[in-house]
Amino acid sequence: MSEELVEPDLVVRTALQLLPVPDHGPDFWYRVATDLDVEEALRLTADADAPAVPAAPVRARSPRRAAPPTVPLVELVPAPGAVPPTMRRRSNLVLSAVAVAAAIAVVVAGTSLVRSRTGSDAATEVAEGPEETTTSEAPAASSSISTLAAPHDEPAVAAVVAWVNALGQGDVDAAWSALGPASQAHWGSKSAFTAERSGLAEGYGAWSAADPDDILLTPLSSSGEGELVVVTLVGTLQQEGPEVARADAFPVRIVDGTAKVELFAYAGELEVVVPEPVPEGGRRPVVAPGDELVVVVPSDAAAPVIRLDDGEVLVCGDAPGTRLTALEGSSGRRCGYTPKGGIPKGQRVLTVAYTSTDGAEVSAESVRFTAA
Amino acid sequence: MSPPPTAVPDVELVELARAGDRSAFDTLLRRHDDRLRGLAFRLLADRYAMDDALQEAYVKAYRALPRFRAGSNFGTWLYRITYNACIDELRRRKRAPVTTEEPTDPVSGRPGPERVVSASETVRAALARLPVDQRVTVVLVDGEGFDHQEAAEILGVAPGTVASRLHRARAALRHILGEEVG
Repeated sequence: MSEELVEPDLVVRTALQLLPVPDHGPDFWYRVATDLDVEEALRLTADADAPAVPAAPVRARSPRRAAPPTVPLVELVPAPGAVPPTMRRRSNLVLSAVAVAAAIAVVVAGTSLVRSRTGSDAATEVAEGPEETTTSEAPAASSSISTLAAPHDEPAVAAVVAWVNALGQGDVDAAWSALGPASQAHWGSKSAFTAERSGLAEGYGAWSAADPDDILLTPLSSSGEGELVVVTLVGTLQQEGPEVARADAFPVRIVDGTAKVELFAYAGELEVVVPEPVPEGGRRPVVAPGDELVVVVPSDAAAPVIRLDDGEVLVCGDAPGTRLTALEGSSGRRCGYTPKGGIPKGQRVLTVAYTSTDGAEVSAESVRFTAA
Repeated sequence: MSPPPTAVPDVELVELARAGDRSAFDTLLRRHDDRLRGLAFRLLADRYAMDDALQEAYVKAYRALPRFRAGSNFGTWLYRITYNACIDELRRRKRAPVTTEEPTDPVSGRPGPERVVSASETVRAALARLPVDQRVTVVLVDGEGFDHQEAAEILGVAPGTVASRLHRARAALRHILGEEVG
């Protein structure tokens, strides 16, 4: 073995260090904890011959994945007869344990929701002082009502508000009903969605107790049915600890005046490269006013749009200041946007979105960042 | 992989975790998570895939904890589980990671913000072009600082295999990155 191979290669090491490693998504540790609850319950139940419960375990995965939206992430239980009897009995134990764990998780989630609502209004205060406003004004938070009270005259906003409030209140039926058909197809069944309600309540449901700084509406052109809009809630949330500055994008489809949330109708991956999103609790990314904002979308993304705050909705590659270029050796395309005159200094929100070619699916993301 | 001097050693936390102490297991996960993220992200080049792989790995580790051999290195053991979870995730994805549009020289001069972005894109693209076995080897040794023996334990191969993979990976990376080998 040569000396060259014994020691780290400094050139390669330096190169590897140029690849920043992101932190986890905001719900990662919650998902792990929920899974471990299930495992712990499995261990406990293995000794107690609990009765079978007809429920299918579902593992929450990362949001905004490129996974086919019509394939629910359900761990399949082998059909009776296809496996030995001992295996079938094991499945029953698994299902029982999962049901027990799910109940535990719901209780935990409910406890945390109650805790957030009995706390002071400090949770809704903006941590970083006044920010430059973008579009709509949200009414002041009520001291007696813990649900999000955003302007309801816009159907897309009303749909998002109803959805996060339903999650926050633990009303699974309402939350399920507020989802559009593509998002429901992603889950596969209401029971699969229900199994994840605690995680969703902790994540998106946290908006129900918040007072957004801004609500942005970004219309998308789509060949699909009805009208497609991305609603971005911008604000500061309290999630099991420190306040978190967030901007969450919620695709909404409006058909015949009825708006449905299509948050899970993923069209594919969407990666914001500049500004690089930071993890929960992390420092907000900073970009220079002269920087190019960069997003990577799949090559078959239809009319990818990019938007800074409440500015013009720009179709990448068509609008002035944007560049859409192919990526060598991959199916992705790079969308670069350099705002004319630079990015105004201050707190900004970048929203990006695209649809599938048939307009049935949509991917959207909003990122808060600082231009300085 | 050694913890800070004031912290409870891994070996004690492992014993507590094996006895059913969930908080001890959580502490172990969070202690090693930084470096495991480095491995997973550099292998998968996608932060969502990274999260999914680590979620899977941590659950598998919890399941396998009763079978963890006393005296073994917990960090190495967890790396191995994470590596396997990443391979599973790669198989699931069956698509090429996103790469950059054109290569640049990332290691000359002091890069400004745009330069850093370009460099990180280039490194990510370069890594993605390596076979997985070479990619993981160079990430473990040059990225995470493991020696050949440790990397071999994690990967389940002989140290000589690590050396040969590393040699090929370094040569390929230098070539891709446009580095002149002196």
